[in-house]
Amino acid sequence: MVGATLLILAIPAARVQAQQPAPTVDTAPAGNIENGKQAFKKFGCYACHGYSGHGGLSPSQRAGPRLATNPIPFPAFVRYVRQPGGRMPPYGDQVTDAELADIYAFLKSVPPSPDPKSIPLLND
Amino acid sequence: MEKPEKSSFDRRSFLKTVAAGSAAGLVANAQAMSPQQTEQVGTGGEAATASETGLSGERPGSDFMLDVIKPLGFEYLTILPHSDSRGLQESIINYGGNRNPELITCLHEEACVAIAHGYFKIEGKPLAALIYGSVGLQHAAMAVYSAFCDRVPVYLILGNNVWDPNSRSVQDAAGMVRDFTKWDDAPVSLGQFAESAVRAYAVAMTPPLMPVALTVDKRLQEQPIAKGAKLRIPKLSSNTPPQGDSGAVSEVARLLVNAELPVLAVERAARTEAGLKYLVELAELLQAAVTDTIQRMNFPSRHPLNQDGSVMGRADVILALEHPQLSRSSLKPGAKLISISSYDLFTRSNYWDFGRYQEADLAIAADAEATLPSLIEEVKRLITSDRRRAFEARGATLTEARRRATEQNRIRASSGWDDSPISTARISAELWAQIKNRDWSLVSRSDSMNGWPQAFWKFEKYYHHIGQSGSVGIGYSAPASVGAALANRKYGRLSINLQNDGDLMFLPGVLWTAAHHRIPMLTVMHNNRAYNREVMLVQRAAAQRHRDISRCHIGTAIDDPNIDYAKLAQSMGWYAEGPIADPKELGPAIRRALAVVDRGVPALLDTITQPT
Repeated sequence: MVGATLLILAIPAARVQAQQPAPTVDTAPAGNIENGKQAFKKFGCYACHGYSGHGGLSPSQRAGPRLATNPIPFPAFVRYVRQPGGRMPPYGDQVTDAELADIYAFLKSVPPSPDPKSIPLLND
Repeated sequence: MEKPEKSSFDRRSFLKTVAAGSAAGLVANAQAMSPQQTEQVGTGGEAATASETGLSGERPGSDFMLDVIKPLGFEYLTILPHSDSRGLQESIINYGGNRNPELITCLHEEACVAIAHGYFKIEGKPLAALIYGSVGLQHAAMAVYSAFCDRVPVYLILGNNVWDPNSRSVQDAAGMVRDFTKWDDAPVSLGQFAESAVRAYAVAMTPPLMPVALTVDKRLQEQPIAKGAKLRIPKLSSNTPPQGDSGAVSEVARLLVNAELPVLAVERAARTEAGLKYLVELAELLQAAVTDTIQRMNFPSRHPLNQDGSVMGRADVILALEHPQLSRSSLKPGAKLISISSYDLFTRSNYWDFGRYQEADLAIAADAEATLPSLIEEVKRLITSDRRRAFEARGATLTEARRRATEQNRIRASSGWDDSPISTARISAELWAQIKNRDWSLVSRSDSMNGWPQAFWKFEKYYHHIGQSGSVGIGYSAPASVGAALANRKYGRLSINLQNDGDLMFLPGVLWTAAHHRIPMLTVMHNNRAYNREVMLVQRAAAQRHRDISRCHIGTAIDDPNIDYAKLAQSMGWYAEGPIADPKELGPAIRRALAVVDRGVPALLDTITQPT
């Protein structure tokens, strides 16, 4: 895991990094979780967001934000993937609506992470 | 060939001198030999060397070379053996007793230099690296460039053979690294060698610190010292680092004291522990924000004034300390940009170690660390009670921002806590729990494990991390970690290396060097089985070209077959476990590995990680 050049995946954290569940209207079409998991890997989303969409520390560390469990509403999700801000690659029409629905279903299926207060190693 | 005669420079006297006292004493007691007399040594044309004619037993030139080198204080000398330095190598082993310097055997010349790079960043003293001037230096060149970019002095000694050239001789050995070294020479006599060797050390250690190269001819090493030669060893004159002009420093202090939100932007500001303390003192005096690119251990990681880069866009005065690449484009309009940097004192043209031109409002060409004491005094003089109250309010705001950022990091770290492959946050936290009460040193790149240690570990001493590579090149981290661990060894410090998988495969032979020389260290792999950042780069290129983005693993993945780093390490004498992909196995594995390291054996854990 090394590299010579910066690539900062910069979906605005406030838009995407939903750490706490928030009430949203779920307008996403039904997707296939297993297909979504495969698509998440196939399209290289894992490279910046991790294999389960958990994200990393910060854009300065070339990491993408957390997507898993409670992503932004599906229409906004689709718009962002096709025409992102920051340095995320613009996927345009390379990913179909059906594939995006599968990915969305996969991200929603990821089990929630533990409360950081419950992890002793994170409280020192 | 002239008949060699016994030198007046007596070995027993020399050894007594070494035993009796300091390097200064040695210099003072060294017998004088005239350079003119020594130049007879190199006038034998095509004649065979002393050792080839069976005249061993006479004092060869390389013994005197070692006499010159020893007082410079090299603790070690990294080497990849080669024919053109055999004379000097033999002198180090037998005449010098393989002590100060002691040879560190390397399996690649790039490792010779990168080990020296890492060593300096802990010890603050250069190592010498003895490298074959033609083919060996070509291997070493990348590591020389890293040291150059990182402002690290490495003392290169290049073996060459100009008197009896062969198919791998070179006319100008140092020429290929002249673009990224500070100075070089190819002395043709022992007298000139003495001056150039001492000069090279002084040049390398005067800010801006950089590598230097000294080419040593094979014949000069092997010919006997001429009878009656009056060689002398020059006294090393250490230069004081250049300080900023007093008027300019006063103006900087005025701007900082009157600023609403000053930021100290630090890159290679702290050269020593003293620099770290100066920066803390200045920041606390002003209650100024500090942003750190962690190229050096500049500022304590948990200090409340340590802020993320976003503060830069709100600042009205930015003091860039040894930070030549800070761009005005990241600042708000009208903000004052001040620079104190030794980069302006020495610039090469071909290989860049600088970025776009920095449009500073006030640029002081000087060493930042050397300038900080006078700046601190001037700031103290200008602070009024009104300003102090404003500083306290600013400090409280920054402290709260820092607290919120830390809390956000904690939430991010919990994300994917139990995932397999293991999250890099989890690895960092598991390690911290087991090292925090020990005297530890992170000897890999300071942004390793995706920067998580910087988010949670308590970096506060200068040796707590060694910064970055300088060149951002791959292949630096593994050998530099061995060099830093070598420096830590005598202090009994625990050296932790967070090792990227791709980086280790450049120079895996450094694992053998560490085991062979009994250098204890714990290496934990960041094994995501790819050049992952390059995956992202190729994805972006494909996306911009509206081409298939799903094929970007081609040329970037390091799998099929997966590399077994535990077996690799075991084959070279390390204790190793892995692959470890279950986070629950990690804590016990770290405990077992640390127990091994405590016995003086290097240990490696091959942990399979998330990419980010």
